[in-house]
Amino acid sequence: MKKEITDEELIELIEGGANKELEQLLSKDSDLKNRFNELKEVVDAIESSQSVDVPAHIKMNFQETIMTEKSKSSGQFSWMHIAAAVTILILGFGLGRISDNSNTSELASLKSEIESLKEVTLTSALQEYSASERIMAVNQIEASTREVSPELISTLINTLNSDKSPNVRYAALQAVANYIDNEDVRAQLVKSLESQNDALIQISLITILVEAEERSAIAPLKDIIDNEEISPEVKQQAEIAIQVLT
Amino acid sequence: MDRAAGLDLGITDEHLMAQVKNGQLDQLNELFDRYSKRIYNYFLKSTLDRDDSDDLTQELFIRVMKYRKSYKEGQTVQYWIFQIARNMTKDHFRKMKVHKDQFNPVEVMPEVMEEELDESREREKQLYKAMNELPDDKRELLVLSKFEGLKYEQIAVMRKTSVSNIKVQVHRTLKELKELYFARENEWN
Repeated sequence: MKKEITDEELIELIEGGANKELEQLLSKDSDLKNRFNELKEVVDAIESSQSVDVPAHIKMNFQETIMTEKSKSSGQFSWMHIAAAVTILILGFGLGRISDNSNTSELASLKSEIESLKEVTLTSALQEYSASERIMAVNQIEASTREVSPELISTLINTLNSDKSPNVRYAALQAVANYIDNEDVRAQLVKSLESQNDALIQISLITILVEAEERSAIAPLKDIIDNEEISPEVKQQAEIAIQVLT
Repeated sequence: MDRAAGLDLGITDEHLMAQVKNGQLDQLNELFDRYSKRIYNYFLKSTLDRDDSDDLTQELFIRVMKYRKSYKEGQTVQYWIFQIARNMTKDHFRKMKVHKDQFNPVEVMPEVMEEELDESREREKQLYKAMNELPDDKRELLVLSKFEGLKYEQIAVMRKTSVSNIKVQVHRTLKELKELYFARENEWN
């Protein structure tokens, strides 16, 4: 009696299981050969299927999550200690003076001094400390609810354009984006688009400029599309951005 | 395995994860580079939905970070990560109702230039249409074994069953897929 060959046996052969008897049968039995070829076509289609690239925003979001987690788990940093200590010192000294003569103009002046000192401390942190501390400094600026000085915005833009860590540059961009209503900031971001070479930052910049409807970004966006060294994901974002802005 | 540029070949996944567990969270970036494409495509081919795969991939790496302390040093990272991914996929299938009639296979395939449209791409489309007809758990099994190349032994541990049982299930699923694949082809011709 002729033995019935199951599809499972044929799959096992496709998966590399040696079976001389079955191989011989295949060469003689055309129906069996057809069944084998059909299974082989499905397995080949699986094996030759292509992977899809991970969308860039997933990595960006995850990097942001890591930064947040780091800032939560690492506690206070050295520069924050310095800033807090100096601020308390000045505040104590100032309150002592105010209690003496309750001079409101001195109070205003003192507040201004404290704010300036904080800015100097933050700026210094952006220039001198480790990447994680620089990110903390940028986050501190971003968390600030009051208006920051043009000098501090300029420092952030400088960080965005020149910091050696892409994570710090990305954090700086997120902080600068809070001041996108400022025409000078928008102009600086358009200029920054020309010099950035990290795909995540490029895509993030493009998104921010599109949301701000900044039409002067069209020219650098076209340059991005023409630049062979820039990744396809960024080019794709640039193309979409141009469509939105025109 | 698809790995991003900048990979430090001198450090194993397990060593990286041990560093993450011990507080070096920056190493999560490297783990992301090593695993994100595989995980993303695992979710994509299991759920056959891009938006859901975006969310699931994001959520998976957040879970890796959040539950880093539960990683047992020496445990295979690939196994640990795929185990998390599997649990998420199972939850997803429980919560979601897939609108199979609206499925478009191009959604789960890489975008290509027009000149690249060829027979193999058509075959791939046909494959995903057939996969869409498979029950969720069988499709997920096929993705683990055939797309992601996990060994039957690894899948057996994940699914808490024997290797021979997994092998039988994979073979039966392939057979079912073949029938769906060619039934579809006959419908179109």
